Amino acid sequence: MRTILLSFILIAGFFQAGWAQQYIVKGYVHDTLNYQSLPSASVVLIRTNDSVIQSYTRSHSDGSFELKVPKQGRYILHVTFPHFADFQDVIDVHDFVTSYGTVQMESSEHILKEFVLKKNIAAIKIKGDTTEYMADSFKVKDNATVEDLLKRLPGITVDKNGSITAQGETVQKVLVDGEEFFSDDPKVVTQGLQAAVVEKVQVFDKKSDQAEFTGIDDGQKTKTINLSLKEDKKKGVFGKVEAGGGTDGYFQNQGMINAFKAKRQLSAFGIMSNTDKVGLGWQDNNSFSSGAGVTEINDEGQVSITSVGSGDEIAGWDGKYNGEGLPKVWTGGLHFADKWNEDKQHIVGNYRYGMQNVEVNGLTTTQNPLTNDSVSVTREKRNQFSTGDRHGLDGMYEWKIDSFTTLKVTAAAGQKQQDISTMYNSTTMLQDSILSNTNDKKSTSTSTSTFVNADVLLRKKFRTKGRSFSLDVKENYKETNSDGRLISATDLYRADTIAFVNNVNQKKTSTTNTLAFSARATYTEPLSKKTFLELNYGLTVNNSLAQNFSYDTNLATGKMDLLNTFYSSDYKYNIFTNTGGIAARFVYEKYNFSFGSDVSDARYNQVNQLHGDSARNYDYLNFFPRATFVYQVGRSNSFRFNYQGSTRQPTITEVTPLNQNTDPLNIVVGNPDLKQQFTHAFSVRYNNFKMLSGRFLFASGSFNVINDAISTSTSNTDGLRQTRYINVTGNYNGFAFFGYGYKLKKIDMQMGAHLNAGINHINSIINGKQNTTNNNSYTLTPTVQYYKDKKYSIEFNPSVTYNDNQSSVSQNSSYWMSNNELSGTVQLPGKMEFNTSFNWFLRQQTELFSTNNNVMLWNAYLSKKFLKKSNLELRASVLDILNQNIGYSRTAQAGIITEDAYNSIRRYGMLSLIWNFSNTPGGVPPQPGGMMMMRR
Amino acid sequence: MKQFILAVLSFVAFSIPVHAQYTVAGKIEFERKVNFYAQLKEMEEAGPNPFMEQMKSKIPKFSTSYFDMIFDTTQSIYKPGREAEVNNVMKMFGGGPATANVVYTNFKTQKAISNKKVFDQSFHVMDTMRVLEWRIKDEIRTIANFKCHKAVGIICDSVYVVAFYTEDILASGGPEMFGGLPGMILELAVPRLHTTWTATKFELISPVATDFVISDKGKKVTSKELQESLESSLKNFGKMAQRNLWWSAL
Repeated sequence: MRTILLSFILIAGFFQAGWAQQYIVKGYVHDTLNYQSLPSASVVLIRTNDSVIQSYTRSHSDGSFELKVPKQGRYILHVTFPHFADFQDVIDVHDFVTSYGTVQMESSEHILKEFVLKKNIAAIKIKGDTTEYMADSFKVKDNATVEDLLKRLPGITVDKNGSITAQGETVQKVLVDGEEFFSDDPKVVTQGLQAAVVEKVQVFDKKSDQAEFTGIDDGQKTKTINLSLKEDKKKGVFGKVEAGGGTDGYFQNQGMINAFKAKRQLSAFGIMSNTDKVGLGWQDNNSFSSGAGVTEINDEGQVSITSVGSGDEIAGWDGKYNGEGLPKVWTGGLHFADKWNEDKQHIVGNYRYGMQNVEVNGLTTTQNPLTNDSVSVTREKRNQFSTGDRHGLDGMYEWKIDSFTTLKVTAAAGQKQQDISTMYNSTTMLQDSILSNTNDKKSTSTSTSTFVNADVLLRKKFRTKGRSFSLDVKENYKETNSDGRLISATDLYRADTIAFVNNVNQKKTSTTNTLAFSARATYTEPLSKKTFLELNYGLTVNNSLAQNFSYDTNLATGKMDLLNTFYSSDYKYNIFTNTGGIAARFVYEKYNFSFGSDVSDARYNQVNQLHGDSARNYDYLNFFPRATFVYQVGRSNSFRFNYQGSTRQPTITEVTPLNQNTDPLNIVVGNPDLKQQFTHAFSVRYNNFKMLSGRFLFASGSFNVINDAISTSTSNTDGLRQTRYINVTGNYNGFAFFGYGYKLKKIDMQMGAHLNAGINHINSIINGKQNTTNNNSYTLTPTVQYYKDKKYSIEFNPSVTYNDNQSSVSQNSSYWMSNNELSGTVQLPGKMEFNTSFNWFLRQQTELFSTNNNVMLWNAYLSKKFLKKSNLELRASVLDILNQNIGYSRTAQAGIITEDAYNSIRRYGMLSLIWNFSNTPGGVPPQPGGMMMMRR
Repeated sequence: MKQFILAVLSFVAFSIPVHAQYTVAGKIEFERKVNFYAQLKEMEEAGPNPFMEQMKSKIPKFSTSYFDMIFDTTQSIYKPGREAEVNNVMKMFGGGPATANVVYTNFKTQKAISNKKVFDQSFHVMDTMRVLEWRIKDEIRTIANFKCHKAVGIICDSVYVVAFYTEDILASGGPEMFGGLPGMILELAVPRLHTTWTATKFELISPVATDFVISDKGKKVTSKELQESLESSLKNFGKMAQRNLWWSAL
């Protein structure tokens, strides 16, 4: 002990030597009562002007000390020794050696004064150890700070330095809503917060956290003031208004407002647009719906966020139109959310309305293989107009019953109405010169669909980590009724003369409805700290009805009410499914793995109500084995392997023969002898990235082997195609992705490349012959990004794809496609921004697809921001400056190659004004900030 | 828990006698708490951010982790301690900043050696002990039965650090690279990072030489070089860069 002490003193001396050493302060530390020297007393010199510790040491075994200071001046000499009162004196250092003499230490006696609160007026409540002041009962001037308020409270004094004394003791902590407001000093809180936002002032002795946790009082108490804020002061309004008008009748207007008061939020939005802006987009949708998505955090600390759909079927995640043709939308919604009872009760409600018109003009070119090794080529033009509206209502109620149990009820209902009218016009040629058939078709339909879904989820955790139970009960109901008309004229040619005519003029009605109930229980049990067992059991009852009726003209009445039983069907289904499963999970620090399987028994009962056949029963036993292995080191290096096996039973249309004439040139025949197909899906993924050097590497791949794959047998005769579903062997497909990127630190440029490869091996039968197709595609995308904060950014992503389509019975079709994207943004003076982007789409012309479908899509905008917070923006933009845009896709599968080109929004200019407003007084001040935590 | 009470009791019994004793060696467990809600709040752009609200409802307010500090009068080592029992929020962000830091300080040679992991990169930082201007305050707190004085310092030009140190422990150390006060720091708060370190457990042990072993793996740098290298790597990360620089400078 002594030697350690001694060596410490030596070190302390050494440490001091590190400083400049002109001036020395010497002295002795003594106990006044016993006249003993006090060794190892702490001796500190503090600068008087700024209270900074200049120098410190410990007294030697004889009580002597020696301190060195670099400068002359006034210092506070501060000496402490356990169980003695702190000693403090001011000394002037001007000589090289200042002898202070003896520091006389006095043994301390602490006298606790007891404070008794005598008055008990209504404004003050005493709850146990807590004294509570109702802030509004104590008048303070407007804009008064909390300090002014505290001064008025009986039993609390605030001195000129802002130090607070409550009930005779110095207040050491000031909490705001129970949270320690992080600041050096309680003063910062009391002087920086407005008195008007305070509801209650609570004064109590805070027990140590340890004592609070264990319930064992260790006697450590801290005099604490808690400021409880008024809930209604946490209120405000924020939102966004965007108004845009363009050339050629284009418009794009959006408004959104969110009002919140404490935990209650009310939002509304509206969009009117005929550009590609048809929905809120995920960001706006998020603030609109207060993120009614589901955030889950598992035991390994992984977060999954499932966001709720925007409710707009035609809008993608970015709020843009993802369909074909020209859209025009009017949509709006209301959102309400509230939480109460310490957030234990949470309710969310939404209503949405949308109305949209879409106009599509398209041309589809399809190449089909024929019996005699030649091909037929069909070109079909379509003009479609659809108009419809929809109402959607949904709600969620969550109740945290206790810290282990949560009950969540969600419900949604909606109605959709749609009128579609389409004109088709097609011509099929054999060997590109012989006319095979022509078809003119008009199809109209009016449909209404309604749905009601409900879900009750009960989750319970237990004290034992890893043990949990959940029960999920669901109800789904959907009904669709449609009423339409089909007028079709088909002419089949032989040697340039009409050989056969098929005319259809029918009324078509259909009704489908499904009512399903399901329940599923899951239980997890920890077998050890590393091993977990999961059991689940569920059952589903599904009752559905599918009616399709065709009516011919009744020659007697002239009305279209004569049921055509050949082209009509009326089926009733009852499906009862039992599913059970077991899985084991092993969790280690760097890796975890799991395996298990679900088994499901599905029993179908099908009644043909129209033709009065006896009921058919199909029973399927389906297996779903699975295994996962994850290896993770830190967050930047991970490897994952996954296997999943799954059975797919045939769908009703694949099994049941339904006679259809909606597409007279394409007939589908059911196959009641179809077996289930079984897919083995393997996938691997490897990620590695280095944040600081900006290098990343992602690789992933998947491979699926399909046993008894449900494939097709097609035959083409006289331009009529008949498809039947069959089971085949040997089908497989795979996908690989590799991405690499790095940062050139010196010039701050991010460079990289992605490589995608896909293979698809499909066996099928075409015209009685075994057909094996290999559809492979390879894409290489180099990327270059150059970014200078607040100045400019430029991005170049050229991409090239090679599609290789080989078929054993039909012609091969291989082609190149390329998409080159170049975009840049420059920040100009005066809060101006200029952005331009080029997208050059190159689609190789082939013998079959000889039309030039290359597009250079050029967009640009110039914007200027106004106001102090730059929250008002004026933007002038031109889209598709060269007026070339078209919608385009090309696919090849099972010997059939298809190209689709359709109309898309073309050149227009637009001037828009965007205003982001926010008014949040008192409560939550808007704070700028990035996603720093999320990335960390 | 029992162990803790025992440790405290034995310590109390040991320290109370008339002839005051100083603590010369031992092991302190620091509980580091990061106020996650406050960090989330800083990210809120305007009004309540619903994703953040969602997050809040699912995660505890504080992300807790433990660090052990073993010291005698010549040296100290600060390193990750036991795993937190409750779900550690920072885990999903890859453990969070400075969770794997190890700091070795030699009071005799005035050297501080630390292993710091910033994102995926490990650094081996060798430097002299950091000298801060500690401003002394009147406030006194009792932490783990030690009487502590308050001192306020500044790192990275503007980041305030609040320390409560006890003169009853002779070593001038503290969590991370903090020290240079006339005793041991038992509570430390970095308000800008919404983080506190509090001594929750003290054991009187006699350290052995192997306790102070620090691995020399990682890129070898000085504190200044570390800051410069991070500044250049993170220069386009805006506010996030700033925060990471603070974390790595602790």
